[in-house]
Amino acid sequence: MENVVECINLTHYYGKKMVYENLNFNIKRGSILGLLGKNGAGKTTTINIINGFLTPKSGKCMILGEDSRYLSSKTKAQIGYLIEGHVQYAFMNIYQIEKFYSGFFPNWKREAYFDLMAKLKVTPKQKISTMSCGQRSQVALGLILAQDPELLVLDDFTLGLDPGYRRLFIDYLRDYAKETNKTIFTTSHIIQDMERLIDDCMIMDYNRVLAYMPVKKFLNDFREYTIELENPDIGVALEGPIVNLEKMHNKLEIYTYAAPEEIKGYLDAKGLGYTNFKEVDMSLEDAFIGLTGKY
Amino acid sequence: MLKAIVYKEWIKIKRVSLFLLLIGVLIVIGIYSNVRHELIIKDAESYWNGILQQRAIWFYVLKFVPLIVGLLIAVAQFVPEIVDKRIKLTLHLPTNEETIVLKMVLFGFFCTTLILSVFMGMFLGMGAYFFPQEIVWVSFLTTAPWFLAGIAAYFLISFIVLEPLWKQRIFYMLFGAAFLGTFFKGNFPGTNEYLLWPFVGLIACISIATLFSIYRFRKGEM
Repeated sequence: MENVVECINLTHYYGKKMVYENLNFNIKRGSILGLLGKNGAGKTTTINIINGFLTPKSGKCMILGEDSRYLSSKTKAQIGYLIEGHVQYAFMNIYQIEKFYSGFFPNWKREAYFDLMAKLKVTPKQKISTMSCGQRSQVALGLILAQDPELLVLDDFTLGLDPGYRRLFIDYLRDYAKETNKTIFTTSHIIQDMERLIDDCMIMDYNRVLAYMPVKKFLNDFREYTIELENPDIGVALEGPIVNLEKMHNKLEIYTYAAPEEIKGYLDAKGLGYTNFKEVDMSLEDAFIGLTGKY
Repeated sequence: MLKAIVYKEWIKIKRVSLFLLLIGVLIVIGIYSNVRHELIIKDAESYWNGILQQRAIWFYVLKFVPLIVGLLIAVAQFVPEIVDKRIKLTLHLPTNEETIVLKMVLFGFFCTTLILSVFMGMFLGMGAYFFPQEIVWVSFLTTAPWFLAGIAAYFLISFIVLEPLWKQRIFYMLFGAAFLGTFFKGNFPGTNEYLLWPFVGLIACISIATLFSIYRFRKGEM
């Protein structure tokens, strides 16, 4: 299957502050990759590089076969872009903005836009700046649907959305992408509901990638066990099969890719006395927090 | 595509342009109401004497109006582009980034020039009703640098607003203030007559400065 996005050895610094080094990933046509990370992990930096707004210190991104630094107009027409916070030309109303964008895209599908706008309770002359965040998200989504691009690049689209609009946005997007074989690259620091949308996940922490795999595999393989330590003062190191730990009093949360027997064996080998060993079911959000930590 | 750009830019500057046009027209009418008042109601002889012998300028109120026009149009046009980094939307449109920004600037320049031309046309036309050709010509030479300052202000403010970093913006503001100051040197009619073409040349040079701001933005200066 052809790669729509290929990022090769991406390295970027802001001054002396490293964002990441040698980041590699690709997105196959028709798949949805979610780049998940806390604020400041480098999500928007990656989006800016993909869109050609930022030149990486080294490495490159190939988008639909073109270097992202020199995207042609034809390729840009095939990339739908949603800015963090659903930023649009807020001084326009929904008719003005549609009229403006339609002038740039020969295959503009105005019905797709107005079908979505019909569901919004906005007055015809209402400026986008006076709309709620949820309504603005629908305007931004409607414009992308009308553009009908091959690749959708969505920067933290869940930001500011209430649960209803977030679910609506995700479900609408997922159906559209799967029906029309679109490719999506999305970032988010709000993980709730993301498993409904993405096929693959790349979880980033500061400077590094913690996980990059299909989301189903991640949810299947990444596990949380809880134990109660007999001696709450004892320290447990982040080593061996343990990927992350959260300790509160005598209760220890262990995050790992290892099976229960392997973890039990490891704890026994370390001579840690414990009781109440349990495996805990996790959502993607739980797994994300387990992997990246609460702080 | 050009039609769409013009459509968006006009939405941004429509109100401020029409407001400035109205204010400018009222100012020119005010200038000649005052001239008429001086010539007909008050002492015409001393008024003439002031203009001919003491080289008095009867239209000082007009001095900074073109500057304000250029400044406000540039602000109205480009501040909405940098709020929430909306310029990314513009640069993402399927056309060459430099070309689209130049088209935006060209439209703003056209509107600024049109408004200033209306002021200048009214000012000289009404002047010709009250004064002989020689005085109208000198008043043109006096006001021309002020009008050119309006156009220069438009280009400079566009460039400064689009600059991604505040540190550079402040530096450019200081440079811009010093540069624009040169258009207002001299307190006598026609002082800057021989600087008109150099002014035009300098304006031509700064007219494409916005491309540098866009280049810096695309290099990742945010």
